[in-house]
Formats: sequence, structure tokens, C-alpha cells
Amino acid sequence: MCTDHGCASFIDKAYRCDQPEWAMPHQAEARLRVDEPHEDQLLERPTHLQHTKQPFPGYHQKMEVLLGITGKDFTIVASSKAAMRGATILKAQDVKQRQLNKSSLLAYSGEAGDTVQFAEYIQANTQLYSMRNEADLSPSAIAHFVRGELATSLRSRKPYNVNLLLGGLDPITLKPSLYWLDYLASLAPVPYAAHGYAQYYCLSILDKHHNPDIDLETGIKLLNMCTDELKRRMPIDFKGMTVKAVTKDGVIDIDFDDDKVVKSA
Amino acid sequence: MMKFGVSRKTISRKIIYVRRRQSKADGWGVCAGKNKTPRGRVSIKSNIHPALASLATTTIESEPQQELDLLLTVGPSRLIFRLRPSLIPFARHVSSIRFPSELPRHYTTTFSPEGRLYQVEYALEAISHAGTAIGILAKDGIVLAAERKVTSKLLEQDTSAEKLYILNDNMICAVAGMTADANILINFARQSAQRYLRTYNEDIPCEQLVRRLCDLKQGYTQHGGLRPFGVTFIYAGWDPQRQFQLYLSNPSGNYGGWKATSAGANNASAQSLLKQDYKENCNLKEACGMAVKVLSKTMDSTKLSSQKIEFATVGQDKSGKVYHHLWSAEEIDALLAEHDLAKETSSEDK
Amino acid sequence: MVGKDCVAIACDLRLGLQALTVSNNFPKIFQYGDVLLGLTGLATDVATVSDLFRYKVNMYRLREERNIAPSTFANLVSSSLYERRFGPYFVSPVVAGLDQKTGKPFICGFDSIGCIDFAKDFIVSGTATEQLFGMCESLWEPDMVRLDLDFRTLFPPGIFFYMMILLKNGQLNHDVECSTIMHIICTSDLNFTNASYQSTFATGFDEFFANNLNLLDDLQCPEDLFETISQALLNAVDRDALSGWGAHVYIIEKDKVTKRLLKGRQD
Repeated sequence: MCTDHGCASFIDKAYRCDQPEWAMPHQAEARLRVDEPHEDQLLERPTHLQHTKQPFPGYHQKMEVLLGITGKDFTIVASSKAAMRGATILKAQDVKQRQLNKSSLLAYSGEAGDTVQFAEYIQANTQLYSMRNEADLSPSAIAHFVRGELATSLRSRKPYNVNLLLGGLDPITLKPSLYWLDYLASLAPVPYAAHGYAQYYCLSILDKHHNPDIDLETGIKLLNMCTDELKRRMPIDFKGMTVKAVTKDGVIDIDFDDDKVVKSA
Repeated sequence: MMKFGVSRKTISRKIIYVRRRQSKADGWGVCAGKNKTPRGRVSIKSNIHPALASLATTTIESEPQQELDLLLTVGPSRLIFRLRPSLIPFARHVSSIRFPSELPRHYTTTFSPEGRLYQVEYALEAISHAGTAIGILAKDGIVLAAERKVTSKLLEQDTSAEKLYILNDNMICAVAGMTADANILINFARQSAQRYLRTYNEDIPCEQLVRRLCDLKQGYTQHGGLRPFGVTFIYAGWDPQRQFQLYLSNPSGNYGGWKATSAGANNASAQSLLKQDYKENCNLKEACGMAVKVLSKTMDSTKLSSQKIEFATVGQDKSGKVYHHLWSAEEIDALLAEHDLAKETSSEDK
Repeated sequence: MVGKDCVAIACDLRLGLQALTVSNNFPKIFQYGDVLLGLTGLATDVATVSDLFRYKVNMYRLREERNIAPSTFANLVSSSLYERRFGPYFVSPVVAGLDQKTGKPFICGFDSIGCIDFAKDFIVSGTATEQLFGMCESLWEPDMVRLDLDFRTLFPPGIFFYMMILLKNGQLNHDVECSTIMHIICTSDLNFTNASYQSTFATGFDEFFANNLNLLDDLQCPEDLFETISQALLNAVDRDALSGWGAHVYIIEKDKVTKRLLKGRQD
């Protein structure tokens, strides 16, 4: 009796594991109550693994580098390649970015499980929107959508611990934009931005050298100045940067020299 | 011969479904108990309360009501459900009765043998008696116009529009059909639009809002027991993706984009007039003129007045900002005077 | 801040993570029809709450086919915040507007769970509260009016001289910068023609205002309110490390709302 029962529940669990909850078509039930109109039909949020509660970002999370720079017709988004857990680097080729649609890109840092889970949840919903409406969401719309989701999560039992940079080009006006979001769901549109300790090193450099009319080449030069400073001053090796840019041709990969040796100060 | 199956779906929902299986005519059926061997082909499913489950069912020709445990009478639109008094204590799980499907054509959600949905067609018919509403798309804006039926002199002439409504900052609509039904839908549309604005910090694209409403309307043509909304809408809106847009949706939940369209009484003649008169690339002013001309021909009285029609436009001001504007009585009268359509009395009043 | 037949509301533009400035263009004032709401506190809740009220006020406007009144809005804010009594939004809102019918200025502030603090003079909130209280206490006066007059050309030198003395003795209401242009902030009934110095001047002021009645017609109440609130805000945030980086100032009058951007110190 016991084995039989145990076996059944095991199979049940296995099914649930490889079939995420939001993939199951249990939304088919119609809602017809007029006084309570149906919610925006989003994909259901996946139930994620229970982590130990960690309300504030740990030091190793702040060591992750996220950088964003806008210019006259592009937005650069860059993220460090090191995947860290405590003092250990687990992976040196990590890509902490997801492309959401043709003209927007999300970079993330924060708690290991939450980051990818949340980014892919946003990615799935953005793509769902594109499919349903035959039009892409603008970066501004995505940013506010993300903020809403993060703000809801913040007041839940287990909030996502994710910091984000969202870069993109408006599909209609082609204006570049960059949005800074932290795990508290604060949202700010900014010309250039960083997350973690990198903020302290990079923002002042960009304050001095950035202006809104720069071209892509200058943007990458500025990025180099920032990463050089990080290599020079930050006490850990972040294993180089994944650099992408959103331009009118979509998201492009940018070759970036990670092996450049920077003389220490 | 009547055949009924009585089953309860789940305990938590406390609903007994009564389903008529196969019958051509309406009639009544009885489920009886008395520990008799079930006769006929009617049965009660056994997963209901034991006391009810012990009821056997039978087919009867006469009406020995005092013998019965459960009496069901099925008519075209009602169901009478009577239970033997001694069984009432066990029947507390029975809180409502619903028809799932396979019902006579009188129910909204069933196709008739000819493959039609009568209730939807009846709703369309109801709308074709309502005041006319028309919409015309111009290159720099959209005009909506609607006929207001003045029923009584004693009726308080409300200042607010009766047939034209604002949905959000860049969309308005004209209503043809039942105002009460329209109010429900308009409230739904406004909430949808504001919810989208809160989620994305952008105004909802016109087509999406139209689609939300149509999804709701469609639901009432498919899910049981409810009447479809007796409303046709003409929507006028602007969004950055597709600029000015004009849509029409009807009770079935269908919608389409139009250059000029009409709904309500004399809809067919209005439509053909519009087809005749419509000029590609006309501007908003020409469109307004066309709108009053079409209305004057389709309405019963040839002379119009601001009491009888409502007017609204969507356009862009000099800075490119989109506005919508419900016209005041004076503005309408001025337009009518310009096109020489004003009622004599109203011009004399001035 | 309340002026004569007008009110003003102003905010700084900084968004920061403790000592680190993240953005210097983060407005905290939101306009709903002709009512203005200022929100200070946790940035995420500033955004959430402002979006929530936009939703509620838009629905109100569509339903009622008119704009929401400031006092109605204040009660909406209060009840909406109290809904979250045991998990509050970390914001302290400020509401400013003019009563639609009477044109009377209305301002009030709230705590994070919606207790309303009505005020006749000014409301402050945020990190620079102490400094703002000090600035407003010293600059604000009831029914502020500003006269931008070059007194040297308007008055004979003798009267000008007497005025200086009066100002010095504090008999005229104060705040004067005597260079070429003189700003006099006085009470709106302009009772500095009253007896106490009429004797001193003989006919001076009486004559002046009798001859220049048109000046009284366009007294610049909103202008003076703008000056006062801007000085109060800018000087308060200059003494606060956590605020500043420019400001937005809204002046609400009977038939218009003016928004001005102040550059401020960018450090």
C-alpha cells in the first residue's frame, strides 16, 4: 500500500519538475464574473525552489559587474562573466543577459537562483506579448512591467533578489534608453548605469566623460575605461565582460578584449 | 419518453447537474424512488448523498406525484424542481441547478440544427432598432456621431452623453444597442485600459482594448445560460503604432477595422451612403460634414438638432498631442447650420 | 505651500542609494487633473503609490466626468494608505490643490498609514524635513504678495529714504533687497497706508497708490509664492546630503498649473 502510494506521488513530482507550472494549460477555465474582470493573462509565475531567506544582497553579489551606456543611436549593456558563490568562482563564461525581444536586452545580477528564473520569466512574458499582439513592447513598457512584477514580489513571502539593467531602442521612435532597477523595484531611466560595487568606480568616470551624443565606438571606449578602472581597483577578478549593444539592427554582440592587462595603480 | 441523468459534480460546488439526454420535444420528467428496481433508462449517479442515491429513477406516463421523491419539470426556459418533504434534510447539497449543454435552441450557447446562434442574431436584431451611430476615419482624425432618441419631453435632458463614451485618454466609442449592457462593457473597458496603463505605463493600443472587450462579448456566446450583450460599439482611437483607427464590434465578439462604418437603425442605408460619399484622404472637417449628412438621411426627421444627435471627434492638436472632444450643443448646432441641416425651430430659438 | 489664491508644491530630483546618487532626474510630484501629489520615501513605493493613484483618479474622472477635488483626493489617499495599515507603503505624501468651487488653497500631508495633517501654511516631508521646517517658518507669511517696483523712479528721493528707515525699523513688512529693484513682501490688504505712518509720510503712500491703482491689479501673488517656495527648498536641500540635484516647482492658480524646473546645485 505504502509503496504504491509513494510511487504515485514520485511520478507526480517528476512530472511537475520537467513540466513547469506555467506550461500547463490550466488557464482554460473561462471567467465570466462581470464585477471581477479577468486579470491580465500573464503566464503564471513558476514556483521556484525555496532558498534560505536572504533579504539583502551578499558581498559576492555586489561584486558582479553590470554596466550600461546609452549614446545617440545605441545602448550598450555589459555584464561580468564570473559566476560566484561566496569567495569561489564557479564559472568564468557566464552570460548574465537575456534578449527580450528584437530591441531590448536585460542584464541581471543577484541571488543565484532568482536571477535566471526571473529574467526568463520576463523574457517569456515579453515574447508572449509579441506573439499575441504582433508588436513588440517598448523598452519603457517592459521596464514598467518588470518593476511591477518586482514590486509585487517584494511584498511577497519570498521576494526575488535581483538587480537589473534594461537597455533598448524604442521600436517606433528608435530612441535609445536604459533603465536601472534594483531588487527593491526602484526604477530610474538613466543615460548610463551600473550595479554593485562597480557603481562606485564607474559612475564617476561616466559622469566626467559621457554625453548623450556619443557614437558606438566612443561608447565602447568609455566601457573600456570603466573596465580598466575595475581591473585596477576591484579586489577580485570578474573574468571579463560579455558586451552587447542594441542598435537599429537589433541586438549585436561586441568583441571585447578581456585579456587586456591593466597596470595597477 | 423522457430520460434524465442526475449527477452531482463535486461536493465543494454543491451543484446538481440535470441533463436531458435525448429528446426532441420539451417536457417533464420525474425521478422517483421507493426502492423499486429502476425502470427505463434513467439513472441517478451514485456519488451523491446516500439518501438521494437510493432514489431509483423511472419513466412514468401518469403523474402520481405523491409517490415521487423528486420531480423535475423541464420547460423551454425553466426547471421546476420539487423534492419529497422527507428528503429535504438530505438535499442541502442541492443549491442550484444548471444546464451544461445539449439544450434546446433557446439557450444562447447552442448551435441550431442549421448551425446558427439564434440569441446572437436576436441581439443583432435588437441593435438594428437602436439609434444610428456612425464613425468616419479621416487622415487627421476620426469623427463619431450618434442619434439620440428623445423619448419624452419630461425626460431630464442629462448633460452627459448617452451614446458616446470616453474609454481612456486616446479612445472613445459610440454605442448602438442597450445602454444598460453598454455601461457594463464600458466600465470593463475603462478598467482594462487603466490596468494596462498601470502595468506598462503606456496607453493600451487600440486594437488590444477592442480585443479585450470582444473576448468578453464572445464569452457570452459560448458559456451557458447567459444572454449576450446587446451592444455594438464603434471605437475611435489613436496609438503611436498605427495612428488613427476606427473599429466596430458586435455582440458575437467579432470586430474589424473600418474607414467608415455604421451601426443601429437604417444601418444598411447608412453604410451604402458612406460607401458612396467616402473620400480617401479626407480631413476631419470634411468627415464631420459627411457624418451629419449621412445622419440626416438615415434619421426619421430630415431636420436635425443638437438634442437629437451626439458628436465627438478624436484628433491631434498643433503640438501633436492627441485629444478627444465630445461636442457641446452649441458646437453641434453650428455644424448643422453650416451644412444647412438645422431644424427651423432651433434656429428661430436663437 | 499656500499663497494668496494659489498654492505651490516643489520637490528635489535626487534618487539615491544611501550616499550614492543613482539618478538626478527622479521627480517626486505627480499631477492628477489639477491636484498635485508629492511623494517622498522608498523609491519603489513612490512609483507604486503614484501609479495606484493614477489608476484610481482616472477611473474617478471617467466615472464622474469631472476632475477630482483636492479634499476628495486627500481622503482617497488617506483611505488607500490605511488599507495597508499592517504592511504600509513607505511614503509620506503631500497633496496640494485649489478648491474647485471656492478657489481656496488646500494643502495637507500624511504619514505612511494615511493620517491626514491639514495645514494653513506649509507641509514638508522627506529627508530634509528639519531644514525645510526652518526655511519655511522664516520665509512664509500669510497672503504673500510681491511688488516688483523700482522705487527710486517711482518715489521722490525723500520718500524713498523714509521707506528705508521704516524698513530698517521693521515697520514695513520685511524681506527687502535694496539694490536697484526693491521687493516688498507685504500683506495683501496693503495696509501700510494705515495711520501709524501716514502721519510720517503725510501723503506719500496714499498718493502713490492712488496714482498707480493699476499696480494693485496685477500684484504677483504666484510669483512671490514661487520665489518663497524655491528659496525654501533650495536652501534646505543644500544643507542635506541626501537630497538636492535640482528641483521641480509647480504653482497652481485658479485656471492654470505652471511647472518650473530649477537647476540647483549639481553636487
